[in-house]
Amino acid sequence: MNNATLHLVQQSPSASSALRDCLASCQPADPIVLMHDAVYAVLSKPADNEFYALRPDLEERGLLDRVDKAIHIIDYPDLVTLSDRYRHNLSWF
Amino acid sequence: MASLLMICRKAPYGSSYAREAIDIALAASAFEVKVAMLFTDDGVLQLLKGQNTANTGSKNVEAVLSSLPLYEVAPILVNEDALAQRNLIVSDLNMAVELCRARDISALCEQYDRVLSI
Repeated sequence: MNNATLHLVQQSPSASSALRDCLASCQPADPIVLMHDAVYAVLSKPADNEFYALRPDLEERGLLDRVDKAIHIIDYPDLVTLSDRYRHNLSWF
Repeated sequence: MASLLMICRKAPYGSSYAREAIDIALAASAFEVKVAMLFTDDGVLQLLKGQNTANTGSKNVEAVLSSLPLYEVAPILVNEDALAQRNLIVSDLNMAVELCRARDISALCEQYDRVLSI
């Protein structure tokens, strides 16, 4: 079990402060998952943290081919594995 | 005794998030969970002094929050960066709080068995 916190950001970076607030309080070692409207943040990697984006949400929004190379694309089973790996999961919505 | 950190990030009244977070905190405390609350981002607005719901029919969030100490919900933490961004200071708040910084939040989470963010 990893003591870092897995952050799940769920809202569009332009319409909501969710991603900005998350980045202001997370640690450099904390991974961040972009899901739902937060996947609009994939065009350029928002920070030095490890970033993941959910494939179904990217596909739905036509973003799959536009994801920054440094962001990992994952599916729901990967999300389950990731969630399990970290002691705390924090949602930002 | 299990411990829970409730992170409150939403302003009161515009949505039911604030009330629901408080309900969770009070319910958990009633079931012998050691509950702490952290108000950050727009959540600090829940603590603003002088809320008056007499003409709106809403339940007064300020009044409900003031009951937290009776339920032994402690500490009540406030992100002072979020306060400053909203031009607020501690004396604008309706209860005694402990201040922390945005950068402390991850370390804070590590101290609790469960963390819930609303």
